[in-house]
Amino acid sequence: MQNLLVTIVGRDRPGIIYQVSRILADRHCNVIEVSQTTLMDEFAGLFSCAMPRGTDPDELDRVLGEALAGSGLGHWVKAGTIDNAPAMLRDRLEPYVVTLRGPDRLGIIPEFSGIMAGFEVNINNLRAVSMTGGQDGNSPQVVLFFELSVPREVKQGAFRQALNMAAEEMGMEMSLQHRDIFEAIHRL
Amino acid sequence: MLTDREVVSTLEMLKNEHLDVRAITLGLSLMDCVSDDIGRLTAKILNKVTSYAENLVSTCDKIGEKYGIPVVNKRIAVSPMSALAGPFTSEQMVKVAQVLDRAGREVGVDFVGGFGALVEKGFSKGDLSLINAIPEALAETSRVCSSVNVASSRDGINMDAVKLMGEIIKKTAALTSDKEGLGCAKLVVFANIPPDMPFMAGAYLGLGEPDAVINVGVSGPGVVKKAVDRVMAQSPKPNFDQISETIKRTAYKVTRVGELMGREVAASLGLPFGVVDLSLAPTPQVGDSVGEIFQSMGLKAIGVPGSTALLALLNDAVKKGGAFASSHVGGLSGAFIPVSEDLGIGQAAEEGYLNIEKLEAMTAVCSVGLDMVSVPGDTSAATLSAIIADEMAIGMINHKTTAVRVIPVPGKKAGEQVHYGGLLGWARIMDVADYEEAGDFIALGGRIPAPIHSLKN
Repeated sequence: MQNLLVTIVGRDRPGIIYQVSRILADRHCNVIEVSQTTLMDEFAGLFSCAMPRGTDPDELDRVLGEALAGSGLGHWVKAGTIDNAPAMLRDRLEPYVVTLRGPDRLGIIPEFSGIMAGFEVNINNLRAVSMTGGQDGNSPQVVLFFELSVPREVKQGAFRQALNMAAEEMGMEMSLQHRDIFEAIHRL
Repeated sequence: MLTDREVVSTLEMLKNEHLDVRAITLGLSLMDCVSDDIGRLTAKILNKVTSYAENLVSTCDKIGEKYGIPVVNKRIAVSPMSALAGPFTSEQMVKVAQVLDRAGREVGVDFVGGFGALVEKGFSKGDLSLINAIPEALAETSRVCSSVNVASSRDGINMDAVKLMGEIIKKTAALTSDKEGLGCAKLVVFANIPPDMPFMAGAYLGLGEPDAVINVGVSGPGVVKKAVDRVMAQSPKPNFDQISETIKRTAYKVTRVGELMGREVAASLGLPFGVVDLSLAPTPQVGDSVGEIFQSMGLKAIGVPGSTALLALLNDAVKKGGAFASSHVGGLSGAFIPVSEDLGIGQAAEEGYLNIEKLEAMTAVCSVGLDMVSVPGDTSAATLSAIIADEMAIGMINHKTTAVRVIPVPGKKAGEQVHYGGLLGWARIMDVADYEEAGDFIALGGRIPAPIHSLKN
């Protein structure tokens, strides 16, 4: 079975999902998973599809290009393979959440994502939210939420210490917690 | 995907609202340590406690760190030691207490409960050996806690035991007079004692429980108070139904923490998970007070008219929310009103809003009883017994647990302050109606019979 990953990026508007999924369906590509998000009126979506044999990814790329021309949406088509490796890997991963809160400054995301990469920790989801706060109540503050997959082999203590040290240096509050606690408290 | 609100509100509960797992208690049966030789008994006890509890503290800390929620206290609750005390004298039972203390120290827990007895209908030889050992045992150990059940809804009130416990409390205070009678802070007299409570000083492992079990005590008066503050700030103001619903939902969240972490500690130790006790257990820290919840809801202080009604709402809402959050809820599960351990309650007593009579009325609707109540050092044993008898009657008739943890502070009078320090806090010594006629009353002895509604068969 061949897998296709279609990425769409551009100005958000009603009808994007319809437009893209219609083209894929007309080409008998079955959409298995979709992940989409919007930020400041911009749309980004990933469509994972199962492609019938003989489908030409380049042809699909051309068709999408024609259909989306003038719409302000960019697209990329990538061929890949569906296999079971991700499911197996998932068994060895633990979901954690890192929350950072503090004064906004340059370099927060590279600093912390660098530490995470160094420990082979994958970031599944990252959100950054701006607000005002701090001691005077008026300084620009940022809260970052990292949802992570942490391999079981990672030494928790060392990971926590590395994050703590970086947070201290940047004047931020850091917390690292297993995701289950949030679900246990807020979800039935 | 978690929402921002879910993450931020969880962190607020942890950082600013004092959410924590208040206690994880290993319940451990010592019935297999039975022996008629004191040396063999104490050796078996030491061996069992140290081997079962070896990893308790480190496991709790590891799981606390995983979830970012501290397990504040790690404790052990054992079988009622009176059950093993038959062959021994009181002096020998003091040695048993010392071994329990030593075992607790070796594994790093802060309290070991279970040096107690169940005497609601009468005394066995072992019961008397143990009870008479209590004052010295509590004076000579730091970790051992004692609870004596003198009444039940099924069996009535053992007034001989009530008389004896008044005397035991006086002796315990006298032997710890250098510490303001602190021994009495480790001694509780109960009606309808639950067999699985993780909180001290009443924790013990009931007969009928497994060989070893993990019970969890959560807490969160600060979390409940902040939730009440938020709903009270709404416009239009909420009514009692809505406030009750808010408390219920908050209790649910707090209990979920205990359920998740307790199960994981139990699984890591290879032990069965027992219960979550979802009591609102305060500490003397600011923002961690049950008394402050009363003020959030608009009362001047805990103890003024309206307090009993409010406490009934609070206690019930906590039980309902918590019951939904856990597969097994047990222990006391409700709201505690300990006078010295709660800043709001201590202040209310200090400022004259709360007296012992109002406290007694409130115990009819809260989950425990007269807790950490400091009284004048010269209060007679008979009056202490009469106070106990009143509290036992409330528990017996209403099919609830009630208890008395009262401290006659040697050398101090009503209106003076006493400082116990740490989690035990400070308090104003309360006025007590202490009349010598209590002596003749308590000396009548015998049993107050079980109420008619005990005939359920």
